[in-house]
Amino acid sequence: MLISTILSEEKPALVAIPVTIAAFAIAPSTLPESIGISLITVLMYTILALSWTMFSGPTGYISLATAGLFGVGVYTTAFLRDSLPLEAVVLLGGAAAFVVALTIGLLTLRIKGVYFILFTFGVAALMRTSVQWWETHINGTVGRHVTAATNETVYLLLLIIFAATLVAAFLLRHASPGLALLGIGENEDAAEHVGVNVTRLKVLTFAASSVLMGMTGAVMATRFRYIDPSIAFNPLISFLPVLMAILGGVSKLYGPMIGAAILVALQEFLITEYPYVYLLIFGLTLVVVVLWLPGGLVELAQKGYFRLKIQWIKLRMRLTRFRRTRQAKRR
Amino acid sequence: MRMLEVRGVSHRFGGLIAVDDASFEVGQGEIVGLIGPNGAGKTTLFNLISGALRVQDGSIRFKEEDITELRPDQISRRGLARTFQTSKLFDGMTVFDNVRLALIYGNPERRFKYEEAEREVNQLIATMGILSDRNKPVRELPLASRRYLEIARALATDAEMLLLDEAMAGLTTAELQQVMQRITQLRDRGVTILIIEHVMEAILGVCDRIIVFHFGQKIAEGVPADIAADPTVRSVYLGDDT
Amino acid sequence: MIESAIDIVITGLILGGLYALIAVGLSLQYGVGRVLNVSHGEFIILAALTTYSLYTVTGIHPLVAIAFIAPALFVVGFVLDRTIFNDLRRTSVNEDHFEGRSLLVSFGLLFVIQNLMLMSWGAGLRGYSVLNTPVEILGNRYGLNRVIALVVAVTASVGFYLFIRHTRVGKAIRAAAERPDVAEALGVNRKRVLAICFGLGAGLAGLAGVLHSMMFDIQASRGIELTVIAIVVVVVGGLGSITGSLFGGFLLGLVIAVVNFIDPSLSLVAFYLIFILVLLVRPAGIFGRQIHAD
Repeated sequence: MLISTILSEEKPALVAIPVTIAAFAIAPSTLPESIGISLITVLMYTILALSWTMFSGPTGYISLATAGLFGVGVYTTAFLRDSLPLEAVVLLGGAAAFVVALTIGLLTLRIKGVYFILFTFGVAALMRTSVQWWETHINGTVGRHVTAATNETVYLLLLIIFAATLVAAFLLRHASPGLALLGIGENEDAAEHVGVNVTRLKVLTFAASSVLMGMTGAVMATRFRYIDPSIAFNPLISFLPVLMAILGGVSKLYGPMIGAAILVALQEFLITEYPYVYLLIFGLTLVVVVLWLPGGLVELAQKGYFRLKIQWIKLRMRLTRFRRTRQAKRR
Repeated sequence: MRMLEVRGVSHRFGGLIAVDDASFEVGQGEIVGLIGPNGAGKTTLFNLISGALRVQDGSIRFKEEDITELRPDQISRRGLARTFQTSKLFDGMTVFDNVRLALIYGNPERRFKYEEAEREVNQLIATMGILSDRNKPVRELPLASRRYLEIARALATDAEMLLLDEAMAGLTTAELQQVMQRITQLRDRGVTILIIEHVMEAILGVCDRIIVFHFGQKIAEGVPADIAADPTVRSVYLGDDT
Repeated sequence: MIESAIDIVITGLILGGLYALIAVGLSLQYGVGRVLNVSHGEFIILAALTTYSLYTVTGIHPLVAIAFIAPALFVVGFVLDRTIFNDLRRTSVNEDHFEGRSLLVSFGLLFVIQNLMLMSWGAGLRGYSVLNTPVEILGNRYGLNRVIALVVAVTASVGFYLFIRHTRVGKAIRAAAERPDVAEALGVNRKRVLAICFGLGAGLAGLAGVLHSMMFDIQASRGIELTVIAIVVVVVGGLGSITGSLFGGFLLGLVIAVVNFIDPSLSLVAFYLIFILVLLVRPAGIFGRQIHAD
């Protein structure tokens, strides 16, 4: 039943999703190596932006805890990399993030709006500073070395996580919980009064999306090779996905993906030479998008599509009239 | 059967007593009106019944079951639904989706799946006369349609009892007549209704019984004719001292 | 032992004076304008770095620099509100929507200001010393600069409090905050009041920045910690409550002085821990409005 609805409503998405995954799969072998390496970053942020959107998109609860959940995954790998196969470590990273997210969720049951945003920001910052203190004072050193994995392995693992994220996000949107999450975002009281167990849905969705963030962190640790709290819990990892999702537009799945692509591309150009310029542009983009493009690029695209459609209709009308006058003249 | 039993319910906000030892019943199939000046505690009472506010004192029973400690979503699934004084519709969603969400989540037994709901939803929307609007986003709807949608959404949870909070405010006389008609139709189909209202002609026209509140206390209860004549009620409303 | 206790208290008061000042500015921006300005700390650092440059390059004394810097930042804040936040107010569906969006915008501003500072001053520590002569108070020695900074901070905070309570402009501000519709009906130009409040908040940040530069070394990237302090104080003392910010500032100053006494490196952890605890426990703060169950 679900399949039949999806088949009838969402043909474009059904094609686009496998195509996107396939495109990412073959990209590294067809593009020059330097871009191939950047694709790792693209995948990482695409996953983060998409998984962030799963919860924060429909509900409007803007979470800045992404860095914390990512960092949990990073440290899981840092501890277990040499004891377990990498796949197991990645899964455990996801599980650890799940537990942390569950805790955050249960703590923030009554916290909404700006308080929620601030709280999630504070949690990630607390995690960073606590781990920093612990590592410095109890362990003596602030950083850790992580056994590397080949770029191919990293890419493959990220690709799998990406595919899972894309499919999960799609299914969520087209099932009851997705509608309920939208309801929560529109009016939480009303949603509760029509039978939605708001608490359970919020916490579970938040925790589920965090699994993907944790797994991503676990994989990326092998890419970073050296990690410390300011790398693992880097606040940018919380902020960038938010801007990517908002810039791209949260109403469609491809929105965060486009946002991620743009900002990572920008980052790759600027980060080595002009890191401050990059962040400056980031800040400006955030201001501009929130002010003038609340629906993101998706909204622009839809309006653009609309205008194109109208032009097309006008054109066809003119053609028809032209043909008719010619036919009339002949007779 | 007594659909709703409110016993000794009180609620205070800090130092302010909003509801003071309220007790009343609503029988199955009745349309009962709840009236009183602004600030009399009527909406607070609704909030207590629907689970939006925690009950501090007293108990509330619905269909013979104690619902005092239950959450709003639990209460809604048991067949007690409400509308809100300030519209709490899902503004960014379509009319259809507003009802569909309620249908899916408010029906524990029928278990509507996401894709099965279409016929039921259309039926509910049609009952309230807004079928032609079903794909419009709610924010484009005129006031009367919004009211109807609120009711349709509440009904979608398979409600056996409906709490209507000032459904008539701001409506024209014609619209008022229509809403009153629909409410009577609902009762004829078996829905019990408790309605907070300020529009007197609506209350007197449609209710079997009226309960009057003032400063959080029940001060009168009876059939419309008696209430209209009751001196306490008159003095509260009209400042009558005769 | 007693000396340590006194030292903690006085250090706490010195810190607290600064914190109170920082918090009052933010409280004004949020209490009236409903903008939780997370770039507040950046304004402070900007003022601090400007003071540093003015002093090291032209020799202008920090206390004199206040006369330029605070008004300049007032203007910046005024313009920002009149343009950006006013626009947001106009296009937001409701207050919550506005608060969320303005928070995001102020994060954007944070990145903009911070990186402009990093591009101009670099990432390293900057400091200067002025009025460093030691002063003895109750058996402990403190730099005169810190004592003066404390005095200025307290004077400014109290003065501001009196301004809000007793002057016409102050009353207009309070009216605009509590009952904007009534205020507007009475002829208060709401948009201007909002912009003035935001500007005042920025101006107070400027003052705080100058004082900060007199007491501590400055780093372009450390603004966020000041913002966190401000938010903690404002949330503890009650969002929008000036009195609360004043008391909360001194309270937090004492707490941090104690933490510093135990283990200075814990202070960051302590900040964030207190931050989330406060958000968990009393979002409305001690003095502020209760959130109604509605």
